[in-house]
Amino acid sequence: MTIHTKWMELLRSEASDAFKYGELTTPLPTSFIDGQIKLMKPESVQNWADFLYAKFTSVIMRHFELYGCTTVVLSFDDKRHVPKAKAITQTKRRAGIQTIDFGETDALPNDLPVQWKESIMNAWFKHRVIELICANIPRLVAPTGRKRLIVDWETVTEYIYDSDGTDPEVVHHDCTGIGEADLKFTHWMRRFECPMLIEATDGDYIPIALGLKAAGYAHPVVILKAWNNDKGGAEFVHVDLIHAFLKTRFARAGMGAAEDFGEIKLFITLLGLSGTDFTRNLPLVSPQKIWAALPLVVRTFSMAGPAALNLQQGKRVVELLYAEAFPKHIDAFSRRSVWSQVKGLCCVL
Amino acid sequence: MESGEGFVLCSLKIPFLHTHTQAQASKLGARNKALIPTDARIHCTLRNINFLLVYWLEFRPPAANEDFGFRITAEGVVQWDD
Repeated sequence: MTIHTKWMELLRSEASDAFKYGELTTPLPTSFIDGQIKLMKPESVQNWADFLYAKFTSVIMRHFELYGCTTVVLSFDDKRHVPKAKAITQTKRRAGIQTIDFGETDALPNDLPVQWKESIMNAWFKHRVIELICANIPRLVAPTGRKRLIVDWETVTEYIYDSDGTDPEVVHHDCTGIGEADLKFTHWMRRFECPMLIEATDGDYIPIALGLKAAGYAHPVVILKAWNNDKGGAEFVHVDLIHAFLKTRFARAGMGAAEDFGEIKLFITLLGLSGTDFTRNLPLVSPQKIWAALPLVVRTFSMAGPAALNLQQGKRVVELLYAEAFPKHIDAFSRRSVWSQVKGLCCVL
Repeated sequence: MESGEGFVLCSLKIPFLHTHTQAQASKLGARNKALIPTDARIHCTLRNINFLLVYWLEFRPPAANEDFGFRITAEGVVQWDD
């Protein structure tokens, strides 16, 4: 599910400077590709070779040759370490989809299944496809100059290329112990300690990259999020500019600068209220309504200190948001819960 | 309720008077009314957010799901804990 799409619309509209289209103006030395998202395929891809080329080889080569990256990390979820809480979202995604019958010991068919979605949502089929990618992609890419490809799945393998046509040098590393691909980039960002390009469509890369800022990793992060041919091609999201925008807006709303990266913690809290893979959304309170009530939210919450929400403050903010959304029906100063105010009879003295 | 608005009680429109005790069912639509969260649901979301804050700011999931608005049934199914 990632973050609510309205948050992306809101950021595109309000922090438009952070969204740039077309060329990547500054070469970035490292890049991270979320392979999990690339497991979906368009109708036009009709065989395994095309699938590997269109979804992986050409993408990695673009990062090496067009964007000037010297290190590319291709990453997949390591389901052994994915949080159990993710199961709620996974179950919801699979609802209504009749996945194919494919077991642990089955081999991939010679031809791509016509029912791709029903196939790739089978966990064992997906496992075999990722195996195929990890086994073949390193020999299919041929970068010029000295470059390296790191394949991070259930194992971590580094391939170091020279342009002399020889096979790449292979180095095995310890597993990161991180489950979801969208969290794995934080491991590589902290390890490389340099600016990074991320290719991923999921919106949750933005708050996670902001989380790195809060953790003290100041290197620039740019996310290649989507392709928009009307606007000139690739859409690059500059996370540092998003951060600058949030700092300004939250400071304005709160009449003062937030301390201790409070604006990042509070922004994540607001994203959580609208629903993510790990938070159940609050109905009827849209991102736009939350954003419109920003001064009220900022002045009610204190987000200094450890990364935890005070539940009483949180409940108060939720009550205020519902009172803002339904002023005729919910009294922000009532002792009754918002639920009991709209369900029961209101006594007016 | 907005001050000055009248409301219907026993088929009579009675002007709003602070000195009288009056009662009125909320006129929120049935669909919206059904979606207004209970306190338990709100607490569940807030505890979920504490999971998210740890996960996205410390880059590791918290160990105890039960403290963060999730429950695990005897069959091992993870559910929202509200």
